[in-house]
Amino acid sequence: MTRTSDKPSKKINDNKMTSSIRDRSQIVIILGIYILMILFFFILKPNYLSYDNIMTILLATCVNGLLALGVSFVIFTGGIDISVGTVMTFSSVMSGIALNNWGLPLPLVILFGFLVGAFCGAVNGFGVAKMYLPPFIATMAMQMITKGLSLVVSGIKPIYFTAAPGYQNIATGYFLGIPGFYNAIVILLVIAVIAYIIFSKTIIGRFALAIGSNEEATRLSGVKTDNWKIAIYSLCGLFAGFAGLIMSSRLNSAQPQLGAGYELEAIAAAVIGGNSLNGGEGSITGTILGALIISSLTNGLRIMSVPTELQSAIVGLVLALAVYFDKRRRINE
Amino acid sequence: MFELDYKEKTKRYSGGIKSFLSDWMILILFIALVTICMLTMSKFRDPKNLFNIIRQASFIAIISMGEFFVILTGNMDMSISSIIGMVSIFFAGLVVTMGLPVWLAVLIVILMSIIVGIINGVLTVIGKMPSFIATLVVMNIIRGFNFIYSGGLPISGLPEGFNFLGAGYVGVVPFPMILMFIIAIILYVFTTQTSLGRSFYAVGGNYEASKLSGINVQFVGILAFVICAVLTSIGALGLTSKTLAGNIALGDELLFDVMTIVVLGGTSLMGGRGRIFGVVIGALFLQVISNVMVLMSIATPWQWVVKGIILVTVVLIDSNTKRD
Repeated sequence: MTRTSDKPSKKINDNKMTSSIRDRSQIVIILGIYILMILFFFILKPNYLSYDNIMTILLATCVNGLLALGVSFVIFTGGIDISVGTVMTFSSVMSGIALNNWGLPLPLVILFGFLVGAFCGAVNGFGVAKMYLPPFIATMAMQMITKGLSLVVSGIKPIYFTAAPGYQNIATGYFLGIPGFYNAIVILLVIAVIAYIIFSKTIIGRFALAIGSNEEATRLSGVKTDNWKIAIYSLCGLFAGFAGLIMSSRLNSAQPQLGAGYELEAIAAAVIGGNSLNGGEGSITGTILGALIISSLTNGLRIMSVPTELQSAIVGLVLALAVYFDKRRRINE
Repeated sequence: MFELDYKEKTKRYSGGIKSFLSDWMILILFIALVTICMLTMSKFRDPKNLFNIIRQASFIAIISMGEFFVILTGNMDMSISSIIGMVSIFFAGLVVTMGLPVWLAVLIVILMSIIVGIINGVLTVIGKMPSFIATLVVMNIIRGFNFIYSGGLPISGLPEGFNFLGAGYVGVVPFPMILMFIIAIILYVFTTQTSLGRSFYAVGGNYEASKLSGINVQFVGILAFVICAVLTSIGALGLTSKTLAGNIALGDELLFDVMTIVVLGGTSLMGGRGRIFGVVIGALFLQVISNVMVLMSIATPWQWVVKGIILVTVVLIDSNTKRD
């Protein structure tokens, strides 16, 4: 994969093409493994594929799926964001404050939560792009800061959204009145489609991959990589804000202690979905599949009454297998 | 060709006093911080408080020195939090439940941590998995084992004498402090005076070049994880001895403190750059900050906010860590 710097635009297109071809074969493999896994649980426990349980799995995918979508964009650039879990919590706590203390109307409250998330992301992006902080350190600091601020702002107590009666319905209401079909699932679906469009049809997705595969070449070919990086980290924060909305709506409260550990699960979803942590390649479909695999696996293990701590160990093993096969595939190519 | 355009890359070639200042920025900041606190806070000056700071910092420092080796080779070990839990719970289980003598239990848990270190190393170095993911997986799996072994409950009732490790004094000097300095000096000599020790820098600095110049890069890479696991288990034993109880959640909050300390100490996350005494100073630095915040009765959540801001500030000031 040697690249010369005199034809940067062609290089970006080449990279886009090879990665999209590679993605397709990879998605098929991941999908195949996913179907096998579903069959395995279905044979052991036929209830696994009941309508109710499928909806439970999809609902459980929502928060992690949204976080994983955001993190994926950062991973495409070769960076990492380990603050998404606590940024999610912080944005939901701030929404709660906006509703209860400032008395803002519900749409503004929701918008404010998104803005808080995007702002945290922008700060991460600024640190990475303009202050040359390694992404791990910049987002680790953001993790500590938002973890602390959530607790300070809330006074270490959950903030309830009882002042806004329809708030709980945003996530747990039934879409078009179909029983079991939660709004949150529709929201995840819509946002996943939007993320797919952003990734494959807009310049942000293309530049994210270009930055991930060769940042210097991208910068030399006239792309303002710094600004795009800030935009991409903000996008990641915005997705954390979406996740915060779903999370707080499901619980009808913002829980300031939540958040730690979510970032690792989101990164795991992105990696199981076949995205390389080195950046430069990946797909949104893969990320959604990765998130689905994690929640389906966790659900299946729970139905078979495997203890929680052992569940995370098994998810860990699946993650290891995913990375192992990914490595082997790359070596074969 | 383009590389010269970037100011952060040209810094590497400067020398003299400027280079000394940038190499030991953390020490200068630390001395400044301690001086200001000494002058302004009478509670801080109290020798008891100063010893207390060092005592609390020492086990975290020992764990951070382990993580330092892994980061020096350009990897990262996320599994230390669950290694701490593992050592704590299995040690207490072996001594209290199974009635083994303390020395044998110590030997067994250190052996267990060596095995974990080898697994981490093999997955990363030979399996070529990203260390972030490999050790994350190992972390989850060990956490599962810890839970199965203990059912999530702490095991208390360790013998009183074991308390010496974490809370004992030799004369007026706390024992953990002596232990920390002994380990730091041994590791300092190891990393600067032996060829094996220096090869950690070589592997982290340029993997291919080290390989071609005959260093057994795989061995060095795995050894880094093993050293990390062993030092982590020594630190975990110290932390356990303070409460005389095994607890699987003992290390849960420590991973990011340890990362912060290693970075504060001037270690580059890309590998190849860092110093053992930088890590020790990083640990003392963080502990002084926590101590001052406790003395000023600042609430714990604010302490996290402050720690996060300090992390960014120090990394910004210290060009060593920024060169990544």
